[in-house]
Amino acid sequence: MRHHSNKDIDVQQELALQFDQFESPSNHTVATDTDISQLSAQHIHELLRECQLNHTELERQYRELEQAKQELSVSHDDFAGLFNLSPVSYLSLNLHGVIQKANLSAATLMGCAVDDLVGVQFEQFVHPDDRENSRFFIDQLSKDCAYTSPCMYVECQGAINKDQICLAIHDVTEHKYAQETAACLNQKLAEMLRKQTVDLVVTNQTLIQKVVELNHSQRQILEREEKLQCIFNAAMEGIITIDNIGNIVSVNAAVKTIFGYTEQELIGCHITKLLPVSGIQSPKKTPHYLLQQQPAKFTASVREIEGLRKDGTKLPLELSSAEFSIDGVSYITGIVRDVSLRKLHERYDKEHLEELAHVTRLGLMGEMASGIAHEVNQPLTAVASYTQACLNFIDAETIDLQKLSDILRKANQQAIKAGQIIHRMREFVKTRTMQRANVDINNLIIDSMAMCAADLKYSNIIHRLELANNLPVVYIDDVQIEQVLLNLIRNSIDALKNLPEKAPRQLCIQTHVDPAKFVEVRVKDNGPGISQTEREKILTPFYSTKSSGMGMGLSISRSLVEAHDGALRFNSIPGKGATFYFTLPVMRTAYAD
Amino acid sequence: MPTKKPGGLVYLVDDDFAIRDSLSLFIESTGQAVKSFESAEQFLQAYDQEQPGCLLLDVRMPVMSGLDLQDVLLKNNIDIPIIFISGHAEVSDSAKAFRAGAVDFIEKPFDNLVLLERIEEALNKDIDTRTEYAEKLKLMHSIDQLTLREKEVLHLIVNNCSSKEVASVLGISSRTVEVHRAHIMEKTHSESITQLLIMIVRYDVVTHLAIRQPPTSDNGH
Repeated sequence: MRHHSNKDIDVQQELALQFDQFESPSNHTVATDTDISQLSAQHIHELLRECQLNHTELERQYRELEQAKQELSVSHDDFAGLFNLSPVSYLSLNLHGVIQKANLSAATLMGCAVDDLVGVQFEQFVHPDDRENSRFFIDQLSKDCAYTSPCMYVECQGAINKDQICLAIHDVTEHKYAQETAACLNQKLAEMLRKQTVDLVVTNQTLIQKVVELNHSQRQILEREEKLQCIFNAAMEGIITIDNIGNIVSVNAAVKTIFGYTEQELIGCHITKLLPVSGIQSPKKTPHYLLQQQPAKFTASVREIEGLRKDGTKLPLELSSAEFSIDGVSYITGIVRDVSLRKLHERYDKEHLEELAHVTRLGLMGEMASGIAHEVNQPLTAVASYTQACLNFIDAETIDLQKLSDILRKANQQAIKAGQIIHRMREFVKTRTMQRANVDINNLIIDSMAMCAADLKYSNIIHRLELANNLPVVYIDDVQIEQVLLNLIRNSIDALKNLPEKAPRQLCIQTHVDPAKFVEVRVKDNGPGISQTEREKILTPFYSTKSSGMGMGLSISRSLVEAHDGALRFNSIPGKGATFYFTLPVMRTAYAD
Repeated sequence: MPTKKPGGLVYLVDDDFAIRDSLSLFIESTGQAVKSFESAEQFLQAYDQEQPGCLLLDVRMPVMSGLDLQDVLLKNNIDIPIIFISGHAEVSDSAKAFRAGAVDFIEKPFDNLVLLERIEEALNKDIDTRTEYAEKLKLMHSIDQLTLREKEVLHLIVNNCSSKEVASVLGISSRTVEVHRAHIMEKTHSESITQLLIMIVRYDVVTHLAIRQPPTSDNGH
């Protein structure tokens, strides 16, 4: 409390000083301006009266001053009280940071008496870590700047006043604790927020991914739809959808091309308008719950039916259909293909093939002519010799009729043989259309070999027939298949001729029936075989390894075999020989016959 | 129908039964002996070189063809006349056959009478050949009987030298040459020196005499 009184004294002194300064000028002025000895009575009287007036005035002023002094004193006491009892700690430092004055709050805060604080370096009360900070703060203040120090536990507010620094220090400990707690909470909150954010980000990414996927699917769906639409309309085949009572629901662009009706003319009409004997059956009345969303199912395989064009003409069609249902209503989609062009082509192809086969047969016969001439010459030579022998025997003295008859019979057989060869040759080159009949393939092979006998003989070829017994008959055009056989045999002969003269030349023809009900014929030789480069071209038209020949033989042979629903293939090991084989289906009808 | 039958046997080789059978019958019907074979190999096994005959041969046969057989016969110095019969005449075949000495090449079908003529010709040819061969052997044998000097004299005469020239070349008198000539004629049973010369040239036995080269024009007079 002593310190408190000191402080009061200071304030009083200060006030008194000010009061003196206020009072003195008037007194001094009176004393210096007048010299009483030189003045008259009147004048003195006047002066006296003036003095009296002044005195009265002074007395009044004094009273006022007294009053003011009293008020000031009260005010001072109030200030002192306020200063000391203020919750804010006040410290006054000099420019060196030494404490000059402190209030009670400051003393409490610092933990020592007010008197002990005065003359102490303020830094002592600052945490070593913050000393630098506080020094800097004070230096800043010295440079006339207002500043708020970020001390750990106190908040200082200071102002420079002449050579004194006034510091207002707030106890912010609680505030700090609260702040720390808040910071801690904040941190936790931030942590939670972070986690939440991470979760959200992940969720978001997943969602974005899903959105992308969905967009992609949507695009795909759109694309697919567009594609399907495109296919739907670009398709050569007519696509017709009918509902469960057979009314047309939709048609694509091709339907107009095929039938001649526009879409408008067809929607709502019955399917029989297009397909008089419709293969499309109206969907059966299926219980509702079964029709919810059935996958499309094929109601029938592709089959040929007859369609009716707008102009009334009929046309061959191929039809396939599928049934599906949407929302309990069943529909059938039928796809129809106009096969009239194909039928026409098939017919042309067949005619063309027949013509080509004929031309190549003529060519083949030309190539075989000398061999066949020899085949005819043999029996003719025999006939001539037999008959000449008969004539000679008849000229003899005794005629042996039995002997003559035997010789003539032989001559007759030979003549018939020659005739048969001529007949077969003529059949072979005759213009004809395909005529199928039940044929024993083995007999056909024997006949074909007979046609080539001369060539085989002259080319020193040893031939062997390995024909299976009890082969089912095949339903074929014998001339066309004979042509195939002759082609293959002649190819083998030509191949074998390329072997060195003394090398053994072998040709073998085999037949057998495989479990898939095909009769297979193999023509096998031990010739030079077929090189890799020849392999690719050998079945194509106009490719020939021979100096003479059109290069049509194998190509036409394959076409002929295929026209019989068979297949012609080959195997070859270059240097070891080649095997050509073809299959002919055994017809069930042929079996039954 | 020729009535005169040359002796000898017709060999027929053809792989075709009908041809073999009919031709055999026909040739038999003319009174000519015939033997038929299915293959060249069978023929080679059965062939008797002493037996005069001719060969009717099919050009193309499996394993050994007619041309192959001709080749084998040639290599074995078997000079049987061959008539090729072919149903498949090719110029190259016939040329080859003729080059190798075939007497004929007939295409099927043929006129049997023509064939018969050719067979007779061939048989006669074979008989002639055989006769000539016998005569040649005889001539060669008689030449072998000559002395060395006689051979020298004959060789010079064959080379168109007169007796005078022969005497001059051999360094003997003309008279001695005449004596040698007489001996030569006697030993070769020749009627004249001209006939002997013809025989020598015909049977081509000049080489048989070649002991000394005839004089060139420089050496002679």
